[in-house]
Amino acid sequence: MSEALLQVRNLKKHFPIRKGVMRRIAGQVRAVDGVSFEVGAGETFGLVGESGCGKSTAGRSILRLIEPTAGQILFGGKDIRKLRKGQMRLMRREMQIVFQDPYASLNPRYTVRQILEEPMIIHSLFGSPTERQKRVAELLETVGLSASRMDRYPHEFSGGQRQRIGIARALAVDPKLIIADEPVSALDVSVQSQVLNLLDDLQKQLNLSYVFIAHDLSVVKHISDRIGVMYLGQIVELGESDQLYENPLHPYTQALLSAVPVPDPEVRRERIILQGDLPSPANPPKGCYFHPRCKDCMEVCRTQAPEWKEVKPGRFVGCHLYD
Amino acid sequence: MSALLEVSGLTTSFLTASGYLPAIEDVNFAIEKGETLGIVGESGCGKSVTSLSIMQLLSSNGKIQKGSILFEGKQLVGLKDTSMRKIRGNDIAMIFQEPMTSLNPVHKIGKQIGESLRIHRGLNKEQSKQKAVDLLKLVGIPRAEDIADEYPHRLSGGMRQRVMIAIAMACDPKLLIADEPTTALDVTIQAQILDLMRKLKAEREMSIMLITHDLGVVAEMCDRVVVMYAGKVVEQGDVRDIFRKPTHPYTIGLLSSIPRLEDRQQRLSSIPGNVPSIEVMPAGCRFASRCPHATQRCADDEPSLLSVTDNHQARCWLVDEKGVAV
Ligand SMILES: Nc1ncnc2c1ncn2[C@@H]1O[C@H](COP(=O)(O)OP(=O)(O)OP(=O)(O)O)[C@@H](O)[C@H]1O
Ligand SMILES: Nc1ncnc2c1ncn2[C@@H]1O[C@H](COP(=O)(O)OP(=O)(O)OP(=O)(O)O)[C@@H](O)[C@H]1O
Ligand SMILES: [Mg+2]
Ligand SMILES: [Mg+2]
Repeated sequence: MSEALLQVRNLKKHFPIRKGVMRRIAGQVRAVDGVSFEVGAGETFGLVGESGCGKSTAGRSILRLIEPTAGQILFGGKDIRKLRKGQMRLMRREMQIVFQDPYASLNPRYTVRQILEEPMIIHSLFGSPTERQKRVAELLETVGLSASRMDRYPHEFSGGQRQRIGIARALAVDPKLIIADEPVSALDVSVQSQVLNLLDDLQKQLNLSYVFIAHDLSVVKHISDRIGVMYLGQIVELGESDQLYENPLHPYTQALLSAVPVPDPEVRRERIILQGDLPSPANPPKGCYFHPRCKDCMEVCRTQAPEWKEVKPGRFVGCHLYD
Repeated sequence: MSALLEVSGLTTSFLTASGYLPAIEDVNFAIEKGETLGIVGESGCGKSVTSLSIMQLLSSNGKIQKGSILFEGKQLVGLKDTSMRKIRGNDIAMIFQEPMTSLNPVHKIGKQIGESLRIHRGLNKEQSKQKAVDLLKLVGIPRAEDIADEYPHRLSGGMRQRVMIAIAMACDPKLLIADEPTTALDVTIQAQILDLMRKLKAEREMSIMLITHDLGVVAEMCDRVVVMYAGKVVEQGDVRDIFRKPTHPYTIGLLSSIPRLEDRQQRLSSIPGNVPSIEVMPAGCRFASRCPHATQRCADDEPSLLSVTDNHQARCWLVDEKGVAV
């Protein structure tokens, strides 16, 4: 791979926990605790993991919608953490986000036309009203909605259609990268497949890169070229998506894959049932964060954090089993 | 042998700005003793309304307009509230999608589990407390004695759902209605809960009505399946038939639009369009506008549930014409 479009290196985001009347800092929630990955042009990188593992925080930190605590984010080779506000705003044109809840993320008082024009106005694109209208119509066609509905409000659309509007808004400014945070999680399966196919088509047409965040493994596997599996703020395994599925290395990846119910009554997958709950990211276990729930836990796992290693070309894992 | 639960011709409507509109219409199905029946379908197709109708827990603007619900041969439609209360939580128990909203935040876990035991079984405080601890152990909660003294907000989502199951199990119900019991949970926690439900069902010969939109969960848990679309049952049959020989074009579309872990990347098929809303239901088949096989007949007349085989039915004219759909 030539130099990746997006390179994330050791990204951290810690939220302070404040206590008492003085609001003193009593601890840190290590929401993202050292995440590294790359996304090439036209590539989809999937970020998967269970609720609270830090996927959304990672996505938002990359766009600096929230300020990262540490790490490097290189976009087109430029360290965007060093950019000042104005420069960052320009950069946002190239990196857009699509949110999970298609309703909450669209302003209910704006028409679809206003929603799509807003980012163009912010970035001073398509100067004249007629040009903008033309672009709005074009965008709606692109995402498979009729341009004749541009003067309607979000509540007049179904969930899948609203998600299309969210995608159209992200496309309005011609980005290179879209971070899609659970873009199909709120949708029914028949509509979910429409949106997944749309994302796929747009990627091919526009050579877009995606960071695709979701908790549904089948969806992530379907759309991604490569996948990072997150647990408690860290990526524990990363690799090409078919390989990751066929031969998961990390015990957590193995458990996660085995837990997905197979939509075939005649297939029984052997299941690794994980004991206990996800620990709190405010107080992660010593050693390997996964060790209290791991079926292969060894002595060393209790005390020493595993190293992040490339075990095969393009295949990374953080686990003492592969020392 | 007659079924444990027999629902026939059930129509439930809600009062809206345009009068009473049916949310479910002419719903028919039965659940045998010891069987798990899955009810699947997309958001808004009437799965929850069906279960709330059985439990007689509809909101005040909703009412059962037609039909019958027989539980062990006893008619539940029109049953007095006091009699229904004896059945609810005792013979039929229900667990909901969001465990937090169905647990009372100001009462301790142990007390909430014990409540139905005091009401239905006349246990005293001491006895019901002890039984609550036993039930927490049954559903696999560690440190059951301590947890019984906790408030719901101190528990994780998975633990709360276990508590809900413990409450549902308290009186050894004959039928458990589980409305999306794992939808709000992570897959690894879902695997724990499904495992638990399977174990309890086998131990207690309980029947389960499992509502879900996840076809993986259906394949794994259910003996028979009812597929609903826009308020109607469109197909029902044994789980193997539904997955191997889906007959209604909606079921076929649903099964082929899910991404599967074992598949290599390929384009998903999808069902074009959207579900019609209850205000503007089409005259003929409700799926016609999205159906690749629709004919004029489908637009004009609604098919009834037609037999594909003895215990497999589909609401589709294709069955009528060819015996089986394309
Ligand atoms: N603003 C905040 N202040 C404090 N803690 C936060 C904040 N935002 C997120 N967190 C915590 O950071 C952790 C990661 O949250 P995040 O929303 O990134 O998870 P996620 O993987 O996106 O989960 P989900 O699948 O539920 O969306 C959680 O423990 C969360 O409670
Ligand atoms: N209290 C109510 N008042 C008016 N309409 C209602 C009410 N409850 C449900 N409905 C309508 O009845 C229909 C069926 O709703 P129901 O909740 O049964 O759907 P569902 O299949 O459970 O969907 P989901 O998968 O989203 O839970 C919907 O169109 C809904 O808007
Ligand atoms: Mg999130
Ligand atoms: Mg429901």
